[in-house]
Amino acid sequence: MSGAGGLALATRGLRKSYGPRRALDGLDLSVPSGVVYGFLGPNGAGKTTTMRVLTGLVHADGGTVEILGKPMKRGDRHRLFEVGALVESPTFYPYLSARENLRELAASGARVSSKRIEELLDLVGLCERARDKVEEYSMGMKQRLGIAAALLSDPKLLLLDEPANGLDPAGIVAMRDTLRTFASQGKTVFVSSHLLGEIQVMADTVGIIASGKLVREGPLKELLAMQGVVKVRVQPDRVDAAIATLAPEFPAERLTETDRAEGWLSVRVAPDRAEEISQKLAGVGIFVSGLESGTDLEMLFLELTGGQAATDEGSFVGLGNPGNGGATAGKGTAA
Amino acid sequence: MRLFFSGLRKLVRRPATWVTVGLLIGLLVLIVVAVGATANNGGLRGNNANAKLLITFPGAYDTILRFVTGMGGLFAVLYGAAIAGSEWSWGTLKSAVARGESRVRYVLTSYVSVAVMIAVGLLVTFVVGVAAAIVGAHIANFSTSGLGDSATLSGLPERLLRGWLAVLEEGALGFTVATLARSQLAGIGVGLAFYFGEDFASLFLPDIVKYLPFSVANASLVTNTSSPGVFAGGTSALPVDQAQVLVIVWLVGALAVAALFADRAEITG
Repeated sequence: MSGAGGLALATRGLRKSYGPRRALDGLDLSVPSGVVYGFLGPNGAGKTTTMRVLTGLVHADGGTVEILGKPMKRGDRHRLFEVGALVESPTFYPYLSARENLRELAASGARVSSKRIEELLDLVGLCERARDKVEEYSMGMKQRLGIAAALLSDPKLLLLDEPANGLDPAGIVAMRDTLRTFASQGKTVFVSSHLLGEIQVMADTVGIIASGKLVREGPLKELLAMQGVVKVRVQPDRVDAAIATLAPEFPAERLTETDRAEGWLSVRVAPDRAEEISQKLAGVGIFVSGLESGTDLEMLFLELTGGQAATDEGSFVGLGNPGNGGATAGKGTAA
Repeated sequence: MRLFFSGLRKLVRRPATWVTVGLLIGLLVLIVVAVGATANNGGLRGNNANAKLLITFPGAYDTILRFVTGMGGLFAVLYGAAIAGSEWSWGTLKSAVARGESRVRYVLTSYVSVAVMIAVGLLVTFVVGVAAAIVGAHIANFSTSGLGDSATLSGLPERLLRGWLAVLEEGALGFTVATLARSQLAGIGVGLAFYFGEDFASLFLPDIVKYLPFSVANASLVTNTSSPGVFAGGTSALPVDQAQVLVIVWLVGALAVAALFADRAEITG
């Protein structure tokens, strides 16, 4: 089920203030049906507030929300019967087991069969610990149970706020597969995350929010097509010569020395120009010992959010972004 | 109904339920058995006769019931606060609301579940208290011939019902305070402060305090055999009928405030 234009979720002019602080300032989101939508923004940009408004936890000061093609007004809680949500950290009764928590949660909102609870415990890998009290769970296990809780009523729209929090790498991969499978069934996943690399491999469409406003939205491939990067490694003592060679072809703002000690340079161009760059350097006797090319969501993110810090664990920070100190290319974005 | 039964299941599994009832029963049994053990050896000084009422039937029914509803009221404040506050502290209310559950229904159904647990708790405590009183009477070599006193027994259901309503009203105050504070600890703290604060204020403002929730709860329990309470300066407690009406007013009012607050609140935690 989706609205006109195939939108699973749409907000128009959404506004919300907490005292003098404006958390949402006319947010317009258009989330197509059947996609994984990555909702990105720096800390305090309004991601969690958006989630809270969408789940009826807080009331917007203005604007409209449409869920699965129908307007959701204040008190129109039945719209949420087709929505699953994990907002902020997962919350449970600590003295109950995972199975009991899901059973008691299923007593609220849309009806859920007990078979569904068992399926979900299996899906998130908690079957063996389903009888243990949640207070004995690790953060990652609670997170997995939170995802199971969000999926409880087999929702058509899934809202997840930082779902990878606390998950180990295997858990993140499993979660990503689950969400991709979910979307492949025509359902919609709206996921906020600060793990930009995770969103890059998982999302079909992204929306980037800054200071309560949407600054960019669209299919990830289209956005990244404009955001290519080619990174080359030369002998450290040939860095200046390499820059001088490439400078006539590429403007200075596209050419960045990212790590002089290691001899890394970055050129912000479409990834398919990697060969051309390598040939130009070879033509003046500078041979490339390392080459990576691809597109980078983080660069786009930083550019659009004015370089506000996003703590992207394990990813290189601010490649080519002024003021970031030219951090090391620790993790490539090879296409 | 599934929300109600879910509420009951959660309360049955909750340690706070067993700790609260256990404490109430433990205290009562301890006192009754201690009275039985010391009744004949001069261990009960001063209020010797009053203490012996605890193990003398049929008067023991009345004494135990007063203990259960009196101390039970205080425990109900704590219990109500713990239940309501934890829904906010643990964020479980948030999960239910995000699933499309009605906030008002959730809050009110939670208290209906609490009300059932309080009823069961009071009944069990009363029964155990009577059993302990029989044991105490045997220890003290007191007769238990009044155990089957039909006049007393026939009045017990009505008195238990009144006691339950009074305790329920006191529990509702703890429940509402914790809802407003969005916290178990704050709810328990403020609930206790109200409980003892009202008692303290009765020394100075008896004409006002007699209308306040804990005073009307006590006044609603007065029977033919017990004398109505008297505040400082000789101010009398409210008549039973008036007190019972006010108990219901406080109960409904407290729950209405809790429900209204939950409905309007921004759940940001």
